[in-house]
Amino acid sequence: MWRIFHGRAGQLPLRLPVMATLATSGAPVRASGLWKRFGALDVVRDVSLEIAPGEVVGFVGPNGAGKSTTIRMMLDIFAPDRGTVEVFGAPIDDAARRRIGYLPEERGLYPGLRIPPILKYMAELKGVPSQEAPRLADAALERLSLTEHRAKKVGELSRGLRQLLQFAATIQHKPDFLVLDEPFSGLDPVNVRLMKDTVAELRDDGVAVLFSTHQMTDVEELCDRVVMINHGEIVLNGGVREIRRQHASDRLLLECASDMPYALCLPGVAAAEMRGDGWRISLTEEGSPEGVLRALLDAGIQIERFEREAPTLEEIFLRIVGSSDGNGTPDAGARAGG
Amino acid sequence: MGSVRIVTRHEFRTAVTRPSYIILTAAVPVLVALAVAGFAIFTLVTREDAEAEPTSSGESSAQTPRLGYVDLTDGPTLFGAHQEQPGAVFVPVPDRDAGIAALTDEQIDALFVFPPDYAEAGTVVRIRIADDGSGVFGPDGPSYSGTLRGFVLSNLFADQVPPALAERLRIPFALVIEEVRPDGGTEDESAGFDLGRAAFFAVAGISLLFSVFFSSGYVLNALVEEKENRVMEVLLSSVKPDALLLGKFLGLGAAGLLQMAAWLASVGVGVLVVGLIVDIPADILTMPGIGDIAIAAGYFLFGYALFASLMAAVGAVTTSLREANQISAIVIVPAFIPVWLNFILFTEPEGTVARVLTYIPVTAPVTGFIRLAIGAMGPLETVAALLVLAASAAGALWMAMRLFGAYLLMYGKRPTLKDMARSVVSG
Repeated sequence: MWRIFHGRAGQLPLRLPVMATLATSGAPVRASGLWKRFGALDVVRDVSLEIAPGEVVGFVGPNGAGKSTTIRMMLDIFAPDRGTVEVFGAPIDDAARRRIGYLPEERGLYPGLRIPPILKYMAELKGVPSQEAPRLADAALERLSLTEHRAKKVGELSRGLRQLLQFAATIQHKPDFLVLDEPFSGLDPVNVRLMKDTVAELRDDGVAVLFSTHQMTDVEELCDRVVMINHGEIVLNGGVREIRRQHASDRLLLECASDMPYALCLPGVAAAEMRGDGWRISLTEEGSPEGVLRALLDAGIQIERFEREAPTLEEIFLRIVGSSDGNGTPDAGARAGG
Repeated sequence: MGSVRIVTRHEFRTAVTRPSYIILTAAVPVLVALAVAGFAIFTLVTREDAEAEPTSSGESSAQTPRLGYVDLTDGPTLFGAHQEQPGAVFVPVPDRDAGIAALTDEQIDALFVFPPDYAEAGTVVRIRIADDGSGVFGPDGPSYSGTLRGFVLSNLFADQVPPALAERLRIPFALVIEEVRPDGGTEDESAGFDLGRAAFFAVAGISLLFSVFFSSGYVLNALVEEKENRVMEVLLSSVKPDALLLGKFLGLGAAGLLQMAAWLASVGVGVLVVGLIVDIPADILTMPGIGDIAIAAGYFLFGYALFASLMAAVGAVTTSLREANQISAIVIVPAFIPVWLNFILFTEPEGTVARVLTYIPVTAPVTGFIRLAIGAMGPLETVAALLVLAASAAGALWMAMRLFGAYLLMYGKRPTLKDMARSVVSG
């Protein structure tokens, strides 16, 4: 089976062989009731997580929350003390491992080696036949605009290029389950966009993506769903829009074409504050957005913007993390277990 | 097994293409070639000198040396007979001046004067021509003291003792030492000593030392570098830790063995070339037996597995190459104990120290090779020692895999001994 690998504008799409496809299984990646203890500390406690094919799940949490440990258990790098992991409907084994692409936070490549043998080695470890590996590597390098650096040693590349190269090594074998741990750190905006576009294409091709990051804006942009972990426990799990809606406040943002000097007189309004070009309105307990909107329309006010103020994911993150431990400082086991 | 094969191939290729490996591998053949060339040149030059010497030092030197003597002793002539001595002829000269003239004219090779008081004082004077700068070593030539002694004794006792006794007087005795057991029995030390076998195990032992330490050092460096470079986690997402470790053992072990093979081959070629120049005992050049090869292979295999496992354990729990190299001394230094105690092993190869060192895993390989070279290990003891070493290697490998799995992703923090013990026990 072949899968189209879309190039940038002006580039020819590349056809790459695919070793296994989600279309044949359709089963998700599923972690159920994972526990992990390091010393006296439960780093991960009863974490359950599911990623469907073609879904990008943002995995967020403060440093030391248990993200990396959870990821490592899902990849069978660490054995969980309790709980199970299924990748596409079966316990993780060598065959499943070959369908996974992993870009860890602590990452690197052999600085003394040239790029082709490294990519070939990584591809072969993922089950790509030896004679097929160079072609896949070339395609991945071309997709990430690294072809001109092909003959270089890794140590000769800049940090950003090394990171792109590592990403190329992660996706060159066309994984069905992609795990990215802080993939954009250290990249310039151009390469961030390049990587995001590639992730989006992979998602469109049916790849399940687990995306761990601290950048909430990236989660909002890329992810269908967000899972937040704190102190080893899942504290938030749902669609990005749904979560923002759930955490929406009782405030309204209002912009009108004409002056509205009597905002405070509207029914259900407890407070109104002029901010920039509009009003920020707080409702009373009895007040509702619908009531305010109706009153405005009845008064013949020309409305340019009317929305219920929803917090950003970052605000939600800070609110949740702040309410539990304040600063989210790293705990024991952070380096080993994250 | 596919992952192991891929890791093995990668590690082997990466190791053998490193400049440091290539330089180190080529260094021994180059040194051997230089040594053989130097030896050949030295041998040829000295041989030419030896062949050229008789013609360059005058006509008389090509014949039996003629040693002139002046007998000035009082009374009857003491030295009138027995002038033909082994290796020289004594020629009577009437007086000192005539002797000097004969010496100057090279009619004689040396001149001895027996003074009048010889009987009382025992003094004999050798007349030499002062240094005329004719050679680096001076004009003296041989001392002829042995020949002179024979000439004097023959003349002094010629008519007073039987000829056989006179001959004995020239060389009164040759001291021979014979050792016996407390029960009075004797042992022929040369019986049972196989020079070829000794040479084989000596070379194999030295090779083991180098091969094991280089190869296990490669394992240590590869592991720590992958930790430092943060490649490890990527690899562990593709391959299980035990397969990764096994692949490294095989690939880097093969690289070490290839290096050792290159060194041994160069030494072998060097010995053969030297054999063309000078005589080498034939035993050294004979092929060892299958049994000896199997024993050496066993020590190589289990010794490498043991040290590579210990090095892997060190690599797993350390955080930098520098720290790893420092801690690896804990593994390397004990392996040299048999070398330091070699005088005990050679003088008492079947003593308590030798036997104990044979069964301690880290000292077993080197001790075994030394004792096998001496011929001090029987078949039963050899098999027992190999079994103990194999079991130790298996235990070390198991421990290394436990530590490898527990600490490979721990960066910047070294576990305590208590942590490590807990990890080994609980997995």
